[in-house]
Amino acid sequence: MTNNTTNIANSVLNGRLLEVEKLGIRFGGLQAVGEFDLHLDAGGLYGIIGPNGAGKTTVFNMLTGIYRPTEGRIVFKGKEMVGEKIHNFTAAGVARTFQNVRLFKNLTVLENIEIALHNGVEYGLLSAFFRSSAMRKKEEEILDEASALLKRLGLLSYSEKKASSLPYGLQRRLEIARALATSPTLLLLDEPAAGMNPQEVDQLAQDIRWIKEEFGLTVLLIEHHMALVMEICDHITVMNFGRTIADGAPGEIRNNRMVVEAYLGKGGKF
Amino acid sequence: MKGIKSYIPALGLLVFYLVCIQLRQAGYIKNYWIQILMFALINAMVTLGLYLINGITGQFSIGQAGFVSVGAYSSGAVTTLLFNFSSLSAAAKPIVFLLSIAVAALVSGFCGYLIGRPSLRLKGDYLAIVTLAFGEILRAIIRCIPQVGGPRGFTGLPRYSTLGWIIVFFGLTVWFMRNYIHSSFGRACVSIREDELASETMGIDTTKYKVQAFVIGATMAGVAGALLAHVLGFLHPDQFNYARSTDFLVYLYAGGAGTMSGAIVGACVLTVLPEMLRFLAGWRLVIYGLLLVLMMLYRPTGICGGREFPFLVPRLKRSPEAIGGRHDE
Repeated sequence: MTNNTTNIANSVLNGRLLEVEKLGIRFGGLQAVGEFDLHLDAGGLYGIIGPNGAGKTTVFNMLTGIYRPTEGRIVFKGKEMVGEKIHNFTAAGVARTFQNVRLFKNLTVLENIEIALHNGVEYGLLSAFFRSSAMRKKEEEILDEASALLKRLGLLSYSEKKASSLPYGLQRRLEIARALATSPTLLLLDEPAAGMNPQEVDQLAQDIRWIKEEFGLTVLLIEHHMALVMEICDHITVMNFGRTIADGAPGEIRNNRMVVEAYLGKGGKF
Repeated sequence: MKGIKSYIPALGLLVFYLVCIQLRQAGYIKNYWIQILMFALINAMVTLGLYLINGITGQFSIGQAGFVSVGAYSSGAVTTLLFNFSSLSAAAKPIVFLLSIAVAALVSGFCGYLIGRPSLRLKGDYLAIVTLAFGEILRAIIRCIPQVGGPRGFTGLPRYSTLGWIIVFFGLTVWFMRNYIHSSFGRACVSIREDELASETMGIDTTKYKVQAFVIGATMAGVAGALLAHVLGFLHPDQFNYARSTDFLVYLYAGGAGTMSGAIVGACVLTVLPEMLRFLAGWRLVIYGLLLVLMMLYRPTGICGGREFPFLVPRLKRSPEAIGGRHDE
């Protein structure tokens, strides 16, 4: 117990935003992820790569409370998060996007953002029922805040459009905008480049860097698009069969024999 | 200017009330039709509650009549068993009536919480089964309480409900509902309907809002039940059976589950329609059923077709600074 507390205290002192130690999850007899470690410093841009089925999304689901890990610890901003509900992860400052975009499709772009601003709402149920002036004022603030966010991300002109009517690239961007509306400190992007053409991927690389600086975030992304990961990430974790097989700067990963084997088989070359 | 505009719906209801009263006094409409109108508005209130649960939050509750019976019986107990209405002064009667409505709201809201809290973790069909069972269990319980008449029915309730009272409560229900839906809580409920997991990852405590919507819906049904009890003057457990719950579902989906207007119009039209078809005698329900089938075929979005009356959508102004004058890009 004391050991744990000191560890947590140390992680805060080191400026570590997220400490994941020996994380594992078992679905029945299947160990989907095991012995997974991850250390994120505030302000970094991190990547997780690995072949299909390596357990990357499972890790994301554990880091956002969707799955409850069966082993290990998740310490975010010095607080133990295992066992917390999904919305408490969000309230603590973890936001995410999904591999297959999960927008509120039938709602407008603006409404998608307004929903994500829910945690900033201070008025009570009675104020809502009577539509008090305090409530209306707060609602106007929410509207302004949502509009301002859409403007920053270049989506304002779509604000009254149905989310499902946007082109795919913009839907992905809207999903990021929606995640940003929860005012996160850690943003998890699950395959942000999936389904994008090369031009869009170039744009995305710039966008991710820009968003990280603009909103003062730490970013962790899962990606199959190797060029993108190698270009923008400071640090990469490589997974295969639910385990970490390599960990380091992009340069080291590129030349790591284990990684090349995992992707291309023995004797392969990047 | 804006202040006056927002009172138009309330004024409209007032004018509607006065016109109805005048027409009745002049003998143009019979008391019978006034009573049908009262039933229509009460049904609309119950359907609005159901709309919040099924239409907005995307759950599937089919036990709405159960909450109506809780409201009806508990308010009846207050006005009949707690106070002896024949010994009350004229001034005290409305107070007792309002008290009974408040009790009905509390009791049915509490029942909503008891049912909702454990069962809203269930999805889809399971919630439907639980709410259905709730309605039936309740009916069985009421039969066992001799104080409220048991299986013989609860008789001798004072007829406190007048068209005026019902219009006031109907107006308040619509207003509260509109305000709730167009608040952050309402948006939270809609997001649950759209995608529960995404909603949860946006920081919304989905269980909390599902229960909240369920309790509000139950409370509205309870208030409507209290009004109903004091229109009828007589209650029987079988009035609130499964078929009655289905009626409210039909009102909602026939009117259009996507809007408040749909819930209101659906309940009113389908309460009045069977009465207007009375001249068909035995064929009445056949024609009623046929009309419903035709509607499903040719207008699946409901009578209102997804449109909302403008006064049911409050508007907010976006400040120009937020947009920065011009649109982006």
